[in-house]
Amino acid sequence: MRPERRLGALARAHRGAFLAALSVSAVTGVFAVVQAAVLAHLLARAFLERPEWEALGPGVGAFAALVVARAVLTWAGRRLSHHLAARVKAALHGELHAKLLALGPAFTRGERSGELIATATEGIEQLDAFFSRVLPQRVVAGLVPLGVIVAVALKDGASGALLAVAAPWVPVFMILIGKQAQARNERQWVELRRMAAHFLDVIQGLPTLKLVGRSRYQLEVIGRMTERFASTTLGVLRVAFLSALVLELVATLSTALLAVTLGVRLVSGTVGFEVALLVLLLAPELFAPLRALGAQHHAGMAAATAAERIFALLDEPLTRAERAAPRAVPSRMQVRFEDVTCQPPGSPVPTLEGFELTVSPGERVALVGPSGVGKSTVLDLLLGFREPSRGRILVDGVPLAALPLEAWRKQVAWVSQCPYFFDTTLRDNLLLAQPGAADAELMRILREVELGPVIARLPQGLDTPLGERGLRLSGGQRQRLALARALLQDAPLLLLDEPTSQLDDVTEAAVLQGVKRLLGREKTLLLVTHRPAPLRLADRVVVLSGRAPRTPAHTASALLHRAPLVGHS
Amino acid sequence: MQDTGSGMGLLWSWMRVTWPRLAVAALLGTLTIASSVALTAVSAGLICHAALRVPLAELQLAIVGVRFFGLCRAGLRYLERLVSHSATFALLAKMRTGCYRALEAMRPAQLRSLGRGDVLSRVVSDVETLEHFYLRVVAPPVIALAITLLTSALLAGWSPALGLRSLAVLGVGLVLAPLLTWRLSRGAGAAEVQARASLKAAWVDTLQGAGDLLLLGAQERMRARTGQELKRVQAAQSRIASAEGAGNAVGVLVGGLIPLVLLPVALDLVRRGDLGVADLVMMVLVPIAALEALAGLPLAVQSLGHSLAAARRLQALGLGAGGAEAERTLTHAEGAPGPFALEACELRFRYDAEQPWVLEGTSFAVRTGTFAVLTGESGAGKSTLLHLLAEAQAGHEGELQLAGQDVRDLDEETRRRKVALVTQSPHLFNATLRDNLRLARPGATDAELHRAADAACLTGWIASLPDGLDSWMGEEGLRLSGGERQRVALARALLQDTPLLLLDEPTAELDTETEQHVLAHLKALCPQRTVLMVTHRPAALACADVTFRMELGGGVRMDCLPVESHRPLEDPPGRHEGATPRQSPRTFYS
Repeated sequence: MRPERRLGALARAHRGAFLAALSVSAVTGVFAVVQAAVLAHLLARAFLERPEWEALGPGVGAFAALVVARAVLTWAGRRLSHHLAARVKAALHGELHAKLLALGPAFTRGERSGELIATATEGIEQLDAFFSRVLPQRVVAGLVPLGVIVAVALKDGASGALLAVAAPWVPVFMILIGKQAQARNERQWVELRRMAAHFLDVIQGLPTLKLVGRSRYQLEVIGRMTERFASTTLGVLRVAFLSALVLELVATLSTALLAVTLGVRLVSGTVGFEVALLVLLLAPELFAPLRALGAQHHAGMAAATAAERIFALLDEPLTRAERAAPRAVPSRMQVRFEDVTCQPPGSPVPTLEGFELTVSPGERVALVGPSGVGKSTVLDLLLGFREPSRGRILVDGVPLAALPLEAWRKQVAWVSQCPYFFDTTLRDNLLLAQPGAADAELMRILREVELGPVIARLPQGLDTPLGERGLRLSGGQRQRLALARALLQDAPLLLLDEPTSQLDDVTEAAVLQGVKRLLGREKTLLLVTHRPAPLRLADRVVVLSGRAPRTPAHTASALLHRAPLVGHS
Repeated sequence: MQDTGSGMGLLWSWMRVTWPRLAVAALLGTLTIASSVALTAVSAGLICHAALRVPLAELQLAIVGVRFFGLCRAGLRYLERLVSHSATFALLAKMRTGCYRALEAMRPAQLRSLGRGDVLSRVVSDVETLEHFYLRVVAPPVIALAITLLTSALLAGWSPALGLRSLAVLGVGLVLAPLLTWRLSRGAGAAEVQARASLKAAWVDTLQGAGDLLLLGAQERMRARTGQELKRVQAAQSRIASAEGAGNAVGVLVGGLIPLVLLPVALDLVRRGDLGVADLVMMVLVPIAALEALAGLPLAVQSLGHSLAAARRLQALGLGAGGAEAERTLTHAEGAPGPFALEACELRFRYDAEQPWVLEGTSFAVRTGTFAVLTGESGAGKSTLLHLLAEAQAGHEGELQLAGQDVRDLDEETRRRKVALVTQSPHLFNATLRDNLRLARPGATDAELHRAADAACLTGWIASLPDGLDSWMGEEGLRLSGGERQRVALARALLQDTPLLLLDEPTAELDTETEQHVLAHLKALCPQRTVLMVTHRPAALACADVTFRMELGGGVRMDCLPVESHRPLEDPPGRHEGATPRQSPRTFYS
């Protein structure tokens, strides 16, 4: 379905708001026509009879009432069309939010996130013009010109015929010239956005440009690009504006033609003055809505482009189909990968191929291997962020795919490479993992991850606000806090992804000691690391290598002795 | 950071440059509507005279006039659109280059802190907001005022009383409609901008924290937050829409008021014989035609709010304020290579006066030709130190020398030839890999590029790319992992071919094998070049000629303790020696 049609369908889904906005717009348009008719009547009487002003009383009263009604309608129409836009935007917003979370971090993280955020914020905002301006204007442009032609034809057949002949040329020419110009016009539009993107790129890369001494040079590039764009765009606009020129020509020339023919007919006495005046007043009302519609062409085009991106996201297939009858989550954490291959859609090579692994309950396994070999993919699969394209994962014999995702995730604690924190207090962030935990318990765990002295130095202690995304903490502190949060969570399976990458070796050793104590004997641990020190947590080290897809389990000893370690326990 | 006032100053300073074109555009806009008014006047006159049965010959002039003004209006509108768009582009070019120049003159430290807060992308969207400043904000009131005066003057030609009344009614529309819109939406524009920023932040959190949100079962909490932020945005937008609607309604009322105010007077004049009856209708229809000029005002007011907010933000950043600090006389001379590639003595630095010192009393030196490693707890100021060396745009106290020259005395070009830096999150541009690499050495041959790529362990990766060196990078191109990104930046820095190479955790995201390869290449650069590398990784520490440890003791006190080269690091040196910091920094030279 074309994006514009789908947008229309979305608007119709909010039936009440849709009908209210469009009917008020239509009625406002009709009122404009009626107001012109009453004015023509008043002026004709004034011209023909030259009465006292007071004698025009009833007509004047009707006119004033019409004007006030139309003013109120105008205001209400703007409000209603805004209301319609707001309703549709809010619905899309919620849908997109749910969809992106359902697609999960495997889809949303990384460089793509910038584009996704732009789509979710500016993209949805660009739809506003479609619902609040383009759509109502289309209704007006569809109804009012027809109404005017009919009204004129009823009063004066000849003038009606003239308008009926002139008016269709407007859409015909707009389509003819528009079609020709549109392709170029759209390319130009894309070019404009690209130029803005270049500007953003250069500004964001400015520190880098300065480092390599190329920042002054870009000043010329920006100036040149903008100038070149300006000259080519003006060339295109010369054609694009032709459709507006035709519209204007048809509008003004048919008004002029009407005035001249009416004048001649008035002299010969074949038409009444009031009718002539009415036709003259109504003719511009025919073209005004078309002109207003043309002025919103760009807003409509931007909305269609944005809609295309939004709909593409909403239509993105979910990798995991929800089961009709989900199985209960087993309490024993025996995790088994059977010949698991994972190849994300669109990726030329699998990120993990033929992976076999069995982790017994309470076992601690470390995954090592060169970057890009699929260690994080293993964790993603367990977390349900990705689905295997071949093979299966069993939890105590039950396929992971048959487990209800939310219940399963409750059994898993995870420390990612860049953990997320809410912009609330330190305590709130920890309590998210274990609601109702006592302060003493929190402090015990914080001490184990070497955050004790850090918290002690904070004047507000556990009540310290963490700031946006926890940015008031350093990278290493955030990592330790994430560990604390994961350990606090009462989950039998713990997944750690490079949990100490930002710690210096002394702190790392101490933190790992704490983690070891907190793990106890029951928790199952799967750990991904590049660093040697965390390997001490593991009972078994599994080496993933790109070349041999079926990976045997190695012992840790070789790896442990390869690099010197700092900080002994 | 001077006048952060209304933002108007900044806008004028940009508009001043393109004013001739803007004036022509405004004139054309006025003439367009004027022809429309004239068309109405002449056609009304035409049918009124015709209704009085004057001979057809007497109508000839009016008939020609009607056709002339009809053509004029269409042609002038076309011209006006071309000229105003060309002026808009000129203004846009001016704004872009102006902003860029101001940002370019900023201290890199300041730029980086702006980049973190997403301020830079806001600069870009602010400039985009201002793109239509002339078309949407400046042109409508200028043209409206001109048309109001012209129309009233025209009517005054028949009767001063009519002219005055026309001025009064149109004046109400000219002033009241925008004023009402302004009054009703006051603060809503700023509120909307602010709410949209919070909404965006909520989305950033949703997407970047998606994994943790799902695992902690906090999706609902997040959905509630984004929903809440959206409500705030929409509340502000609703006020704005309502205000705009009110402004439009005032326009409608003024249109209705015109006949009510002008017709009684005109009738009276006709009855007294002071006005020909043929002109009666025209006296009412002309001001109504002029209303077209007033239609854009409510929208202009609304855009004005957005534009001023955008301009104020740009101005608050110090953009458009001319240049930054005055250029100092800088040396271009290449000093003779001294014994030390870099020296710091009692170095102190903080990002601004209200913040604590990041570096306080840092002293150390790196001998020319050594492979030095800088390690220590996160937050100790290691990255800051590297940036100071590579960017050295003042702000620090104490001494900081590159090859015997004070960094403050080096101009950008000289510094670029002396020192290259690979940051933790290097930027790759929307361009091919080749262009991204060549940035550091514009004339580099493919052979040179491949050599640098090999040193950064990128050869296999490049071979796997669809278009090799011509593959597209950046936002619109390939999605690079953190490790790949850093290696591309490393290759770029190697191409820069500087005697001193500064690396900030270049191997943090590499596996052991790749790391060994990269380290071996870096090591081989010495002693022709000097390498200073910030790292925590044992492999790097193991192959360093010298290791410095920065410590975060108590507050932000720092000591650098050299470790003998090639000594395996069984013991954490900081734990022993850090306990009794030595006092005379000069003795720490390797």
